[in-house]
Amino acid sequence: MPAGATYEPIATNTLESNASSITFSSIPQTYTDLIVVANLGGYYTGTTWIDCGIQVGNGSIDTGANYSSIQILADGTGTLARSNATYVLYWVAAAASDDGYYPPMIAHINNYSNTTTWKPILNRFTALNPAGSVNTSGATVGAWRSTSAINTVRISNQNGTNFYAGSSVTLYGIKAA
Amino acid sequence: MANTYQLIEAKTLSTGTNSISFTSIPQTYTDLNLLISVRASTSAELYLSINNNVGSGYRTLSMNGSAPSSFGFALYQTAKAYLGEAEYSTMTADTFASASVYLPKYTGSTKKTLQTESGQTSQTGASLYWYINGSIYNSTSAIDNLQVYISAGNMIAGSTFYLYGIKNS
Repeated sequence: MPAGATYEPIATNTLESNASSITFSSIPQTYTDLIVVANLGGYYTGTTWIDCGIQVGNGSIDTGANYSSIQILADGTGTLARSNATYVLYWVAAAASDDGYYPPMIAHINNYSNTTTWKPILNRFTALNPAGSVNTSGATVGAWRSTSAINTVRISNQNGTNFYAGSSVTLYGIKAA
Repeated sequence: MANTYQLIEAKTLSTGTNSISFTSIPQTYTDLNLLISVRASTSAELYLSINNNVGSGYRTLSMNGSAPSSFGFALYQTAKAYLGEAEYSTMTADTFASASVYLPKYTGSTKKTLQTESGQTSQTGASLYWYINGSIYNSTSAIDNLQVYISAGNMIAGSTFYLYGIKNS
């Protein structure tokens, strides 16, 4: 087994002010897989959770209906499954003001630099708040239906509101050799 | 760049015990990942406490699947964070339940959260379980101490606990 480093940080983006998305661009093509660790909190009036999306691209973020995404989750009252074609989805707990909780979402983007296969995107996530109005954990399997290499990744709020300052996303690279 | 996923401490039980602790966890990483392989002397739930706090302040939402066809959830507002279930004495011999616990931003002043995946996979019919759990802990204190407990009996010899640190720079 190679003795070299194989799990390396690529970049971290921490919001200094409220914003609706975090984007990584010019991702080096020198790893085998990517891991995204997001710690986000945000605001939304419609429900107690925020619909979030992972989108990727080559040169620019693909916002078209070029994703396959199926999510299973428990929401405190039952279990359900949801799907989406324009992003790989997950939930973040919403709060009327920043409550200091930024539960994790961890995503794996495998074989991101190859140019022959669609790109799998897997995540598991937590959306909880102390008031008990948000009680969610779940997982999503998805894919970007493109054979292009991925060199940009975006985590975005799909409800049109913002993530709170202090929210952060870190991108790691894993080398198979 | 430096390798950022580093072993902090490994523990392998040589005798049975109800709990294990990681103490004086270095504050030099960004996130922690605790990998658990555990078998118990009797049917038991697996829990984690932070900084020796076994009082209130934890909430866990557990999404679970059990063979052959059940899919559900449970909400825990307990004195510790719920991780899942241990394999135990009546299950297939020499098998252990697995859990991966991810604790982001453990040194920071934000409220503490964790994400857990765990499962019992030794059986071929019933008693197969899969858990995806999210937990929050109402504290802004840095984490320098973790304890793993089971609800009954002991974790048996051969159970292992690996604590890794992950740096984001």
